[in-house]
Amino acid sequence: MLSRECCGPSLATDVLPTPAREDAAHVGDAEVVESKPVRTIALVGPPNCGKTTLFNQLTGLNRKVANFPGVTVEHFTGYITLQDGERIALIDLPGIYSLNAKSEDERVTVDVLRGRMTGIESPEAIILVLDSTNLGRHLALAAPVISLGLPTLVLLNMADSLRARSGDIEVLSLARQLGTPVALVSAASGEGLGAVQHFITSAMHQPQPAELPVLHDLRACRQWAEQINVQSNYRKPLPPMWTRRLDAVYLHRLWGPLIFLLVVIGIFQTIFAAGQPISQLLQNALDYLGAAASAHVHSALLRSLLMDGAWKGVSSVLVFLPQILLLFLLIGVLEDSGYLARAAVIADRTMSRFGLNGKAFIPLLSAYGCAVPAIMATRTIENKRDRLATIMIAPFMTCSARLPVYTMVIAAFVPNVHIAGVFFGSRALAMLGLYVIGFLAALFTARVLKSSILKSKDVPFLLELPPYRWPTVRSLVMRLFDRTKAFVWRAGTVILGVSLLLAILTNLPLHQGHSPAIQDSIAGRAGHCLEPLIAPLGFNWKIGVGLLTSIAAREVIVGTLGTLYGVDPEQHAMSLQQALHSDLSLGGAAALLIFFAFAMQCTSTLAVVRRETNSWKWPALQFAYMTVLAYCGAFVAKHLVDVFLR
Amino acid sequence: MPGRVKTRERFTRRVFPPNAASPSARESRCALDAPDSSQEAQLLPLSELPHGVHAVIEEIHLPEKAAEQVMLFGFMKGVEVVAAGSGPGGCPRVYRLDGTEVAIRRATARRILVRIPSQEQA
Repeated sequence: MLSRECCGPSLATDVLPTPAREDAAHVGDAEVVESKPVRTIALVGPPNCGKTTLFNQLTGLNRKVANFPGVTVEHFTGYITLQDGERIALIDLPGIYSLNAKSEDERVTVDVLRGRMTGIESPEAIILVLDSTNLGRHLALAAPVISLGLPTLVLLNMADSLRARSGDIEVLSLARQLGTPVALVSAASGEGLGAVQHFITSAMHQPQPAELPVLHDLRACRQWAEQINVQSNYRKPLPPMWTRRLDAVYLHRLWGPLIFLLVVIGIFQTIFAAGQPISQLLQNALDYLGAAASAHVHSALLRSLLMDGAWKGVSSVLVFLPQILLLFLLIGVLEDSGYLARAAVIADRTMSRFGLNGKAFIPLLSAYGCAVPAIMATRTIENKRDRLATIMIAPFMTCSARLPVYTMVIAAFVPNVHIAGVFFGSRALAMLGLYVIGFLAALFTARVLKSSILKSKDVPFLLELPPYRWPTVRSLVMRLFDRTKAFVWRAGTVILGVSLLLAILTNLPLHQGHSPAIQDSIAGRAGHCLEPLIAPLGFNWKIGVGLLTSIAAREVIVGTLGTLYGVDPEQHAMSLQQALHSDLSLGGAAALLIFFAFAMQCTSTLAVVRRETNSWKWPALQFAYMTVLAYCGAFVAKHLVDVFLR
Repeated sequence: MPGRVKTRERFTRRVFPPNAASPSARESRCALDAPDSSQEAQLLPLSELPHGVHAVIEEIHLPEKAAEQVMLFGFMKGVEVVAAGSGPGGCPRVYRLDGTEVAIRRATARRILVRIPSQEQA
């Protein structure tokens, strides 16, 4: 940890989420925790100036960072333990342009600063982080923040970029003008962070600025900032040349959209061309492990339960990990490099046609990974109705949990044919088609909502485009690590549980000590009850059971089918794809894909929608709408395929 | 809302200066104070600024809330801007000001009037 190096061994780190605070204080270092209350310091600053990077450096935590404004949308507390044992609570906050909150994320920051956030102590001091390469505008935020009257440390971040681009500022002079301590730092490399410790351990004083502007007058704040910059001999850095060169291409009227399209296609092709072979290797390894383990299980019933049931269920989902990680890696590169903001610019025109704000594109793009953080990210959208519309359509974007389902069905039904040489295969094309269908359903829904219950006046679309940066290995590795943890956790809990339960239910009720035929088992009978409902879509009872279990999470169906086929003696020897092929018609496969493209099968998403909209009305509406659309869409797809492809 | 208007229509709507005519009933809601004719000769809407050309912001004709928002992103009287790129077909536009790039829709940019300094000197 760099922060330990630069701040000396005295700055230890701690990794505790807010709720665990008190318990951990007792469990952890008992002699440290006297009755002394924890001092709270807030990290404030404009969006994308590096607050979370600094937070991670100081606390040793790994909160998500990326190169676009609006990554952090909620408050998060981490702890620093000083040498004398004192614990300091550091609150990471969403970026703000002013103290007049317009969007939900800005409101979080303002509420915390004014002590109105329940469960968060009013901060005792503020660390104001500003981008030193953009002080002309960012310094204007110092006026309202300093006027809060709390002891403030001003950190001018990205000192390395400032120097590299021949910019300069007299820190002492700036400190005199602002009446606060000021330090040039680089949060990414840890340079200059000793100032933070010095600030915390020294006697904190109220800021004593030489002069403050009239705060509600933006122009006055701006002029004040400019005047201070002049007095501190601020030399603006040279423009980032590479950003200009790249933008000349990426934001070109013609090349821009074309490159955007190539990037999207490239992502798909990589997931397929590179992800598939790795998945195959993993599959072989898991099969080998399963076979080796089952040799040690002597009871036939137990073997059927554990190996054919639970293991097949869990391993059939685990094999998709490489592809999902590849997807998150590529999304991570887009986010960290700064291209995501350009993609939002390119997409804005299409979005505006459907009544959406271009800003909605950023959460929607992250919904390709997972809808839960995407719905959180909608907090940056100022207009409440625009935000609701974006929340409502986010689950239509093809999240990574659909990837295993799509891959499984496509691999079973679509022959692998190269279309444009080695660059694009038929399977990748089918997959792309499903992504497009999901996106179109989202746009259609947005249009319906925006022209009916969520009509609103236009809010100007403004988006700051950050300079391009190299994605850091640390940030990318952290994303992949988090994702792997979540994925393996789900496979080891929900999917293992469902698989095991199914394996048991397919072996009950026992007839004279023997397992029944699979269709006569409890699971079989339950599935058969569903059949009248799903037969019009071309699904049999096994798919029905899969649909039922996938309400928990989409990829559970893969595990469920893995278990059901593993337990069924007729399909036991087949691969998952072969078994599926023997079970579904082509029309049924199309129906299954469309059903998964539209249906809301994710309890986590429903929970987060409930939390973010503060009512059950919206998630209930969303669930009903998406289920009806999924059923009707699947029905139409089956019959179209049956008519045209037979 | 420009997104609702067909592309072709939008191209033909490129009037100069745009505030002389009200392009659509919806946009005309943005209560414009028409600048007097002596200024019109020098001022041009930001949306019409050619790629790579520097200009200085002179007037902002937007409703209060919207004006405040563009100001937070640096669009203020006296600030120098450069047209730096755009989305497909020219909307939204990207401007460089204060060392950063900001994307803004054309409908908003046409309410911001700028002056090209070199033109004035000539």
